[in-house]
Amino acid sequence: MSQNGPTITAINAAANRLGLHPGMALADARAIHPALAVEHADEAGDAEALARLALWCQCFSPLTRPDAPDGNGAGILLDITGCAHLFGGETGLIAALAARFVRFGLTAKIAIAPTIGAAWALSRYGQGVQIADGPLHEALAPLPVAALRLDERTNVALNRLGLKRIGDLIGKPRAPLVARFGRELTERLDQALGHAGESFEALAAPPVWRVERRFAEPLITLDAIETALRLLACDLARLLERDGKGARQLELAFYRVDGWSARREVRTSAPSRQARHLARLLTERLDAIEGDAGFGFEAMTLGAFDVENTETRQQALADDARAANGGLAPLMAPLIDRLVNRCGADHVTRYEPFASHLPERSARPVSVLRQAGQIAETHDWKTHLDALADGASFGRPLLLFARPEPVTAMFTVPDGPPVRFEWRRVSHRVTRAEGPERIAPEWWRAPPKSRNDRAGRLTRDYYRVEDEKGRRFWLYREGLFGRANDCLDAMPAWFIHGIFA
Amino acid sequence: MQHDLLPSAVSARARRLRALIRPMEHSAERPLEHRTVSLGSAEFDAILPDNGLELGALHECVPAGYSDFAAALGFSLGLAARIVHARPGNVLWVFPDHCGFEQGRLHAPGLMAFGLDPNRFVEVGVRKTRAMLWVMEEGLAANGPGEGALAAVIGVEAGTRTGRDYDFTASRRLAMRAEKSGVTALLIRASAQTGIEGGAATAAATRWRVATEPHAPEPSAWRRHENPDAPRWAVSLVKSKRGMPGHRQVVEWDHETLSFHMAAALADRTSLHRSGEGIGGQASRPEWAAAS
Repeated sequence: MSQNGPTITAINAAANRLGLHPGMALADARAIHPALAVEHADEAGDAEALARLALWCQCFSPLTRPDAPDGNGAGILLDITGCAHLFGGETGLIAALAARFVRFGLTAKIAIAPTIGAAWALSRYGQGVQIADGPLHEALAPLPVAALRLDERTNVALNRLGLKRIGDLIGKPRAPLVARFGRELTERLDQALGHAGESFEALAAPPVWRVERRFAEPLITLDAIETALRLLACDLARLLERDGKGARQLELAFYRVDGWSARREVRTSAPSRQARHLARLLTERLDAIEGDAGFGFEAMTLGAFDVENTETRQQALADDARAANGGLAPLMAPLIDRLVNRCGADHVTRYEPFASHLPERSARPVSVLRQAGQIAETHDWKTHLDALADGASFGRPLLLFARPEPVTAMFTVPDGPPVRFEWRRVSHRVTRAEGPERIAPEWWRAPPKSRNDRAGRLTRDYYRVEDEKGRRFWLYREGLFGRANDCLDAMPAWFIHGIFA
Repeated sequence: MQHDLLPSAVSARARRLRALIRPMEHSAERPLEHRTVSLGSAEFDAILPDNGLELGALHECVPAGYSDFAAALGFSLGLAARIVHARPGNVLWVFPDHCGFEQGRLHAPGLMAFGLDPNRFVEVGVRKTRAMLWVMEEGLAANGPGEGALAAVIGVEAGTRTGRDYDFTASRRLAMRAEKSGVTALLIRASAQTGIEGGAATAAATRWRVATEPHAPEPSAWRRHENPDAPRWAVSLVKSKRGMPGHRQVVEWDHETLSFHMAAALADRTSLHRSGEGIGGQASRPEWAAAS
């Protein structure tokens, strides 16, 4: 929508024949042809479709990016450095791409040029399919100045001055141009001609190691996809083996015949290059792929990201190292990878001690993937427990509540053990109580702001109590009796924090 | 008399026959004496076939009531400690997320009372019983026992749809995988609190019913402040695939020797309290006399 009301953003071939063009006011177009069929523009949908197509184009080159739509239509940029020979040279690549786009029902203009600017200009303003293999300034000279990716104002101003072709600008004194139009004009010109660099921001970082398979017949069945996956995994494993690497992150991409692509990603806890293991991990992620296959996948690529060095060690040495540190051995890695892939990295955890006397902070679960390749790492729990509970192994409960639950307790004031308490509407009579074990607040952390935020900010007196049925709990009294600055209420509150076996 | 049913009293002929049958039952090539682990007390071992807990099998622990979950967990960890003691390895702990809110999460320092190294624990949080069973199966199928591999898989079944998810087929899958790999599976059936048998039949080698047990009913004032370290549970072997189900035992876990030992059950004093008998009545029925 512009000042002049709704405008046309895109037209089809029939409209083009009627003389309509993008940027025209809708009212004008209707005046020319009252029976015009009009649909609202879906910018977000277009952008998404373009991004999807750019992803699909990764089956031609790992470096692709969608080009934001403007008055000249939308585009996709591919960096085909080192890729063209796979398709029989640049002509072959263009032919393959053009054939695909025709099949998708898209009207595409394709150009190959040494610079981003030149490729942009040739694809939008050039005649048909072009490969710029001659001198760039010759190829660009006949094109209108709009092909330089200029803003509308500069474009109009240049046209008014009679500088209508790029050729009119090449070789002109630069100082007056900069003075009149700003730096952008000369910069764009230099970029198009290759005198100035321009970075290519790809949609996704390219994988370090990548293998691909193209199929004569599109794959539709899960069996075929799995077979292809195993072959890909073998290819990749061979590459990794050759270079002494192991992959920690893999991305499997499927390219469908109709310009749609799907991706599956897996992570491993330790660098791996076992084809069987990698294939198995990926196979488990193929749940819905058959439903997405549609007319079939014409290509699949498997890329390894996050690659680490792994030296081929003798098994005996590995065993020695394992026995020495006592941690989770490499033997566990395949199992852990599968669990992580199925349950999520946050749900497969190990315990890590933390230097705090507050029970809820003293041990915490950490994802097995958090430390790169360190599932064999061990912690000194013995020292930790010595510091926590003076080495008393029964000093800490087996089950701990992440959030202590309030209980109502009867106790002898000011600081006696509980005699009776009620937790979850069940009354427990205490037959034995041992304590208190006083845990002081960590004053170096921020003071409590509100009642709800006082966890761990008041002195706690812990008691191990046993009720008449032999159930054993870990209760604590929060705050000290009669100390207004330490106890937020007049009476200390009681909480249950854990259960002993 | 119930005592006659105990394996120790079974006739020599039956013993011989069992020894003949046993190799037929197990296809594995491992020698028989490596298939069980002692629980640390000869008296306790005697109630189990082959004098010990079978390795590479599925064992179930059923809490006797809602509040006995910690006891069942403690008993399972005691079993796991015995297994890890005999066969060093890692432990896979599969825990439903919602159970963490209800019963609390496993506290790593608390594990050390069972002689278990928190470094060797991998916790997997699952949402549903089906996922829990999948993780357990994966763990059991992963690799055989050995230094650096899995020694035991402990799972908690706490779903409400008990009968549908964990049924005979599911238990059979676990048991077969356990037998094949030699990794022991321990399943805490926190949702199967109905009936003493713990619901429908499963393929478990043993099923234990665990409840908390007080150390003394009414400690006098001067004993009120001492809390014995050893957890004490009332354990019943309600199912034993190849042996005789035993009756109720009171066992304690000794964290110094990392073994179970039998404790005498407490006297039933309810009649005393009711009739108001004096000191003389108590003296005539000492605690040890009531051990079954």
